[in-house]
Order: sequence, then C-alpha cells, then structure tokens
Amino acid sequence: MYRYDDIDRAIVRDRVSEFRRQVERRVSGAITEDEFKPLRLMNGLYLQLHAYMLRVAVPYGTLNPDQLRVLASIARDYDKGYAHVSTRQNFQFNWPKLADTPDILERLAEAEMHAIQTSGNCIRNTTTDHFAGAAQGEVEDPRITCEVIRQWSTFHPEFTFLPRKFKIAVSATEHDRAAIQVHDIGLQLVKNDAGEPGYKVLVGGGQGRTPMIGEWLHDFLPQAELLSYLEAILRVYNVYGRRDNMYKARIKILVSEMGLDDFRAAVEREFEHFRAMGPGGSIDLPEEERARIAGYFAPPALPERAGASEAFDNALASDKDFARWVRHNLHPHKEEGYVSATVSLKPTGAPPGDITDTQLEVLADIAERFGYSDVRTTHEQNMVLPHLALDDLYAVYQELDDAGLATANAGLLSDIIACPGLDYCNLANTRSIPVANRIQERFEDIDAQSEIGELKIKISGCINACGHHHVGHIGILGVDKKGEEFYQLTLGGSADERASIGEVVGRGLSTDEVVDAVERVISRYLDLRQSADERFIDAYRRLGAEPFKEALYAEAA
Amino acid sequence: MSADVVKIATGGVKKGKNQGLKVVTANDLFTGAVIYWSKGDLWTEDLSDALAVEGSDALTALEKAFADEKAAVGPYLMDVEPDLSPSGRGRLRETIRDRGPTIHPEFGRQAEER
Repeated sequence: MYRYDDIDRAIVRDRVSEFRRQVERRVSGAITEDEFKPLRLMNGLYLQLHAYMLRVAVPYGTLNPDQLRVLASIARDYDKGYAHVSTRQNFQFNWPKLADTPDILERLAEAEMHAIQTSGNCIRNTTTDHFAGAAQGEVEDPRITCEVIRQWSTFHPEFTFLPRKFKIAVSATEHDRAAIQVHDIGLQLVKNDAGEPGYKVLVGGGQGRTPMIGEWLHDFLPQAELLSYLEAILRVYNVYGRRDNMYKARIKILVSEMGLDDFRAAVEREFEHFRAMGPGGSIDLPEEERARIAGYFAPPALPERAGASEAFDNALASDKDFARWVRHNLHPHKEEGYVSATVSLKPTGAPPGDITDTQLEVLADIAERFGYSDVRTTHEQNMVLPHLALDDLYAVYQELDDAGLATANAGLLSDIIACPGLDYCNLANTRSIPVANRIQERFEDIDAQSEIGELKIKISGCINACGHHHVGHIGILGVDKKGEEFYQLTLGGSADERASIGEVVGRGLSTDEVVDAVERVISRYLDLRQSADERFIDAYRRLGAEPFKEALYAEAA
Repeated sequence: MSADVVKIATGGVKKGKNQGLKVVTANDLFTGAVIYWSKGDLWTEDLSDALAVEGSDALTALEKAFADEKAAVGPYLMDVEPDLSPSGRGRLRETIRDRGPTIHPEFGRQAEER
C-alpha cells in the first residue's frame, strides 16, 4: 500500500498542529463558532445529536494492521469502544470530545492517517472496488488511479471551496463494485484496441434528493491525461456550478441544466488549454512519477499454490457453518489457491458497520498472520481480507467466528446498508438502524436468506440518501410525517454496471407496517421468479413494479 | 411579526414557529453533550431542571444562550410539554438527544437508569 513520503508526513503533522491551535482559540473565545465550524469540518469533526463525530479518511478503503490497531486504540481511549464503517469506505467515531480531537488526529498521523477531505465542499475520499488488486479481470489496480487523484486533490487551492462536495469513484473491472454511476465523476479503467489502459469517464451521477445516473462524458481518456481532464471538469463545475441554492449545487444539476453536449464542449475547451501546454507544461504526471506511485500497489508476494486445498476441503466437509460462510462470503482471487473474504459487520441486531476495538485488533492480527497485512473497508459497510490462502481459510474463519466476525450473510438480505439515522445524525428525520435490525430479525435464518439469494436492502433516514436507498434492490427512505416516522419503499434500484434508480412505490408505511411490507415483496418475488438463479433485481427488471406494488399494499390497505 | 409567531430554528435543518412552551437546548462545546438553559442563566444536562418559557421570554432566553458561546454550540428552541418532556414534531429527535441512541441503551443518560 501507499506509504507517506516526507511531504505527506509534513502536511498531515502541520495540519494537526494547526487544528490544535484552532481548537485552543475556539475554547478561549478568540474565534466564534461561526468561524470555527468550517475549520473543524475541514478536519472531519461534525457535531451530531449527542456528541461530536470524527470521520477518519480511509483512502480507497485500504488499511494495514498498524492502522487498525490505532483505530482500535482511539475507539477504546476516546470513544465508547467501537468505530463505524461509513458508506464511503471511511471510519467514524461517534463520541469524541472536542478537546481530545487534536490528540486523536495526532495519533492518526503517527499511523499515516488523517481526517482531511472527509467534509466540506472539496474533493472527498476517492472510493473504489474493495477487492482491488485481488479481483480477477482488472485492467490494473484501481488504487493507483485513486492515489494519483488523492495527491492531486489534497489541498488543491482551486478546489477547496467548490459549489458543493465532490465524490469520485474508480472501477477497474467490468462488474462495478464501486457504484461509479452514482458519483459526481465515475472512472472505469478500460483498454483500447491497442491494449493501452485509459478511462471511460462518467459525470453527473449522484443520490441525495435528486438521484441521477451519470452520463458518459468520454469513451477513452488516455491514462496520461487523467489529471488534465479531471481538472478541466472541476474548473467548469467551479465556474458554472450553482452557489445560490445548496440543493442545486452538485455537478449533476449543472450537467442536467447545461445539457451533456454543452457541458462536454466546455470541458473540452478547458482541456485544450492544458493540451496546448504539452508534456511537462500541463498538470499531468510524468510517467516516472506515476510508476513510482504504482510501485506502492505491487501485488503482495503470494507463494505459488495449487488450486485445491485438502485442508480446506476437509473443513468444508466437516463444518456446516464454515461451508455456509464459504458459500456467501468468499470472492474469487486472481491467483490460484487464494480467495478474498468479506468480513461481515452485519450480525443480527447490531448497527450495520459497527466494529469494536477488540474486533479491530483481532482483524489486525489475522491480516498480519494470514492476510499479507492488507485489509479493506467496503462502501457496503463491511470489511475485506483480500488475500487469503485456501490452506489458511479455516483457521481464519475460526478466529473471525470467535470474535463475532463470521456472519455468513455477504450479499444476502441481512447485509443491509443503513445510515446512522436519527439515532445519531443531526439531519435525519427517522431512524434507520432499528428498521435494519428488525428486518434482520425477521429473516434471521441464513439458509432462508440463501434461498432468497442476492438481495440488497438499503435504508436512509432522510432524503440525503447516505444509506444509498435509491440504489437498493429494495430501498427504504425514512420520512417525517407530523413528527411520526414513516418509511417509503423504492424497488428496482441498483449500483452496479446496470445502475438504476429505484422506483417509488406508493404511500409511506408506518414503523409497524414496514417490515411486513418488505416480507410481502420478498414473498411475491419468490412466487414469481423463474428459477432460484433469477435474483430479485432480475425478476423486477423482467416484471416491472406492478406485481410488487400489489403485494405491498394488498394486505396493508 | 410578533414574537410569538416568529420563525425559528428547531434543530437540524428544521424550522418552526415560536408558539407554545419552549426550552433552549444546545450541545456542550467541550463534550458535545446535550444541554438545556436553566434558571439562573446556567446550562444543565438535566432536562427536568430546564427553564420553560414562551413567546418573547423564549426569544430572550435564546439570545442569552447564543451569547454564551464559550460553553455551548448551536442553541435553538425545542417544544416541551408542561412536565418538560419533549413534544411536537421534534419529540422523537429530542427524546433521543436527551436519553441516548435507541440502538445503544448502554450509552447516554438512559444508561444511568439501567
């Protein structure tokens, strides 16, 4: 993984010192809250319902064991013994005190972490496939691109005060696990006919109150011109994006109002400006610098192994729970004899994405001993061990299981994305996590979930859509009706390469009705599917919303 | 516009009218804990000790709370019943702020009663 150079180290440490002084000035009364608020937000410090919340950046979701241990120590020393994985691959702490925050940031800096670009109207953490570097069929490791973007965008003076926040995601496989079509910019690594790597560029996707699927802006951008092109897009957005209305300030609204052709023409004019400077004159990376960054993402030295493992086969035959975990939580690895494993943070009844200090340390130990010191966070609020030998898998499973980290539900209906909702969030209208927990309890049997197959349920406690409900196969949006919690269902959303925005189906449902309604939709799907291989989303695409609407409201009426 | 119908912030992004019984609430600058404006122009973490006021008195209390920036962040007026329990559209939000997250009964003031 990427390691800080002297410049990275210096800017992060300087930033901690600067924030320490800013906190001191706020406490002394030298600056007002209005002056302090943007400064704390630039350092990832929000104020939520009960306490401050610190969002820690996890660039492209990659962590090493030392970093996990530091996160565990912060959870233990400054929080209430747990941390939370967000839907943008970051970590959040829900209970830090203001006066402790500079010390927390200092501890993070020691482990090459920070909270920069986790808030504010800047370019946020670039996210990617949680199986990056391990997945089959990658053009190249997408984290190289993410790191190039991180270095370009960090403290970029022109893009510190954009009209609104700006999110970029990168995918390097045909199957999109990074939800690139619902980001401000989505980059898909592809190869041209000559076999050269480059990017398909999407722009103007996003969720929130105006969900949109991104539009293809460029079919093949040569890799060497990435930063010029991104800078051109950002310049157009910075100049023309609306600043008069925060709800219309995202780039998706600009692209929609300008029209894709006019937007593209404006980007091309800016791009030509960079091109005219030629190599060495533009902002694009020299090849040697790109190669230096790429060197940090060289694959781990995985010993050659056979495709089959007797130890693995024996465990599979003798331990049904292990077999169940293997069936759902493994992902193919590009090297024979290895797999990637999803470490589910979705046991029934726990807040999706929460992980305790002890669990973080267990995961660090496992990663160190078996996982080539590589751990990932996922935007689906789980974690991943990307490189595990089949020979070691049973031992890994047993240790995860002992730590409560072996829930065998990856991709199943209890693997729910849920925003913090009204239990924590200052913006939320309703709670999300209790609804997720009640659905998990209703469908607790993993074998029954397995029979239902892949089903992505995503829950947001308000229209800001942090729980990604717009792209849930079943999306649930919490709405406030005169002080009461109601839930609006959307069906047919998807965040993969066939991305779609879910369709709103009818009136909101009360707290008491919503779990029954989800169950009726699932029952109808089971009645209507052509085979066990036809996933919920496939059946929905074949049949449309109508049969599911009927099921939803027939008995609820 | 008279004081009793002036538009006010009511927490989060919500707005409301200054009608009915109110308590000034905010977050403690140092800890982020939920606090309430009480008699004697002091902050308390105990809602039952809060000062309940109406109309122009509510706006006056809010003004004083805003002036106490060295202790509190983001004061606003919340609706309460005569017994000082949260009421109105923000009832659930203010109950959660006061007691703690419903998903973690071991945290927040609710934990003290377990």
